[in-house]
Amino acid sequence: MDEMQAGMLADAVARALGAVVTPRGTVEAEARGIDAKAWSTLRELGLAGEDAAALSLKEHAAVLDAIGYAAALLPYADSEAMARWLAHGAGLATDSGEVLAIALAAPQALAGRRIAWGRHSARTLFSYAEGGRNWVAVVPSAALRLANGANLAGEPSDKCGAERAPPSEVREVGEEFSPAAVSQRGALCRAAAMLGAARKAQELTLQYAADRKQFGKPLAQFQVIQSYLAQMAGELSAAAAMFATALRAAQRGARASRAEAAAAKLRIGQAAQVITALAHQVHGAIGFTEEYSLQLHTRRLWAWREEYGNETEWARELGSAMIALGPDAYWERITR
Amino acid sequence: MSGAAPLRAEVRAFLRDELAAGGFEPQCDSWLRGFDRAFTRKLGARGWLGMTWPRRYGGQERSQRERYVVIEELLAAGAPVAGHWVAERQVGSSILRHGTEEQKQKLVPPIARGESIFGACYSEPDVGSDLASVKTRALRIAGGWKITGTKVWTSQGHNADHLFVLCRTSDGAGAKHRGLSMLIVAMPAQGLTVRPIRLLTGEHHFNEMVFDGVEVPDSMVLGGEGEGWNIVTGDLAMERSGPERFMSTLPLLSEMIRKAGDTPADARAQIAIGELVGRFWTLRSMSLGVAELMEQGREPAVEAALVKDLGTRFEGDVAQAARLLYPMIPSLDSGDRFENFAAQAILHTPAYTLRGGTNEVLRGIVARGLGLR
Repeated sequence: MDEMQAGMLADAVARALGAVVTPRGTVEAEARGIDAKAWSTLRELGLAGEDAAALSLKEHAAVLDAIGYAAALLPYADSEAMARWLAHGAGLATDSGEVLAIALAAPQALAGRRIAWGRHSARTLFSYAEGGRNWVAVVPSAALRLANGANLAGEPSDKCGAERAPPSEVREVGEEFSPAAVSQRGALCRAAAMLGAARKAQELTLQYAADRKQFGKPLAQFQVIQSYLAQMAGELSAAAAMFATALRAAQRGARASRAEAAAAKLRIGQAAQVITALAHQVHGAIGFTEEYSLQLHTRRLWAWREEYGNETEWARELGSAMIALGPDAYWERITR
Repeated sequence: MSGAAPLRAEVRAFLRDELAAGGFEPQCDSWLRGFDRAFTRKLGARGWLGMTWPRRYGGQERSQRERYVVIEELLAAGAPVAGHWVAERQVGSSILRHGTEEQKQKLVPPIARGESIFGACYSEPDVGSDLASVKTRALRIAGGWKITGTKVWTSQGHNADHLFVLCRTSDGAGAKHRGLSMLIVAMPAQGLTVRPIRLLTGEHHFNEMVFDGVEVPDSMVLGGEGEGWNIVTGDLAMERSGPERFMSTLPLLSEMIRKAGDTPADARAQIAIGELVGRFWTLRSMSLGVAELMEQGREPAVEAALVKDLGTRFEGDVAQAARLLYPMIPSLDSGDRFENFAAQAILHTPAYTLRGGTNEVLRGIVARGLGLR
């Protein structure tokens, strides 16, 4: 049932975004840091605001996949799939109309910090641990004195001018809303969007290889190109398989599924490297121009693979956990 | 896989007991190098061979997932499973799918008991990746066929009780894959010479099988004349997506984890091991997905090819990561398990990405699936 609903949701979002998001539009939206038209489309679908808090992680993943596929410049992951969820977990009321930003930090340690989508947000939620307890603090985003900045995808990654900001509210939260749980959810949200972006990069590359002729035949007929395209398919299918395992495991709760989430973000990060490299190689120079849409997807993969833990960070955590379990128990853990 | 937990516990307990009793010595690539008739019979006696087959042919009518649990536990432990591997993985199912009632009754139950070892005779000296070009001929004689030709790379051919021989029985009216048939030869066979093809380690697993007028009765043609290509390609999907395509060096990964636990915490080890475990977990997820598709009666040839391409590269990468992480002198005669497993894994590395379809051929299959061919 859940499976079917998530699939239907993914289709509905893909259709809706397909109607309003264009590569040209995304490039132009980067100056403002949001695709306002696409954002109202999602709001009309009931995917932003209080309604979003009712969605399962699997449903959020379906929406994020569609956003990555469309290369839509939207704060959905941070505001709805994460901050809104965290606010609810902390028992904090939110306004359906507001964009929420989220940061894995204490509001007293803002120096050098960036806040994703900060300029569009009314409030920022800070998730941190202190004194062995987990906290969520709410800060009006204006108090952060943000200066515009961007990640590699041109998404807002705004720089804090303030070194500390007084929270308007602070709540203690349980294990399931700890900073560790937030980072894990962030990793899965980025992974979901990356799968969509990678799939689109692959489709563009397949189409280009079929259309583009050199030496009298389509690129797709050269064996070495076929081998590249097959490798891309393998990486995408591998990352999708691990992500599906992580989503299933997530139903057991954050702590019990951390290793799966680590492996999922690690694997999509590895896949992103191969897929972006080969997609651009097959496209030739047109692929790295502003006018051609491949760059919207590859830049997203390059940006998102770093956020909420890159390959090294998750590999290290996964590796430490497996080493701590030892040669028998690690195997039992994987095959649980 | 929660439903299979009691079975998994049972297999683990069995393996623990066997290890404690010195019943086997763990090793890498145990599905190629670990030949042990007695061990194979023990698995048969426990109902762990041909688990998915119908009871009336010696099976247990259990699910693909349950079979998966058993084989991945055996591989993780490095248990000697080479004796029955080919028979259990592909031959039994092929006979059940294509065989006559008589063939099923006669040939399948002994495989499930662990008493019948099969050798697969597909490749030839001039025929590797382009399998449809086999030249070994079977000529019509009264009541059967007479095989002449040479097959190579037959694992356990020197131990086999039966052989699966892909032969040309006609020119297929121009389409070379149409003139092929699968003949089953009972051993010992008159006119057959078996010669070892030793690995670069000197190990003897592969054989050259020279057929000089070996006679096979009509009752031992599988699926009828001209069905050879269908049978062998159906076989290959099973052959390509199983856990043995990414678990050949898992015992070495486990030893790496042991070693890392015995030495002070080190970021490099944590990252290297995390990367390998992440890749392993991914491959297992993919492979289970393929098993599920096969359970639904689908033939996921492309998905199987993807698992094998990524999986066999992973197997080699485990050996590479091990030696770079913990410098050592790998040796087959080392008493240290890490050095010993590393030696096994490194010396077998060239085979991973070749056997059962080279990675280049596999990518061709994927390319076809993507509509590029």
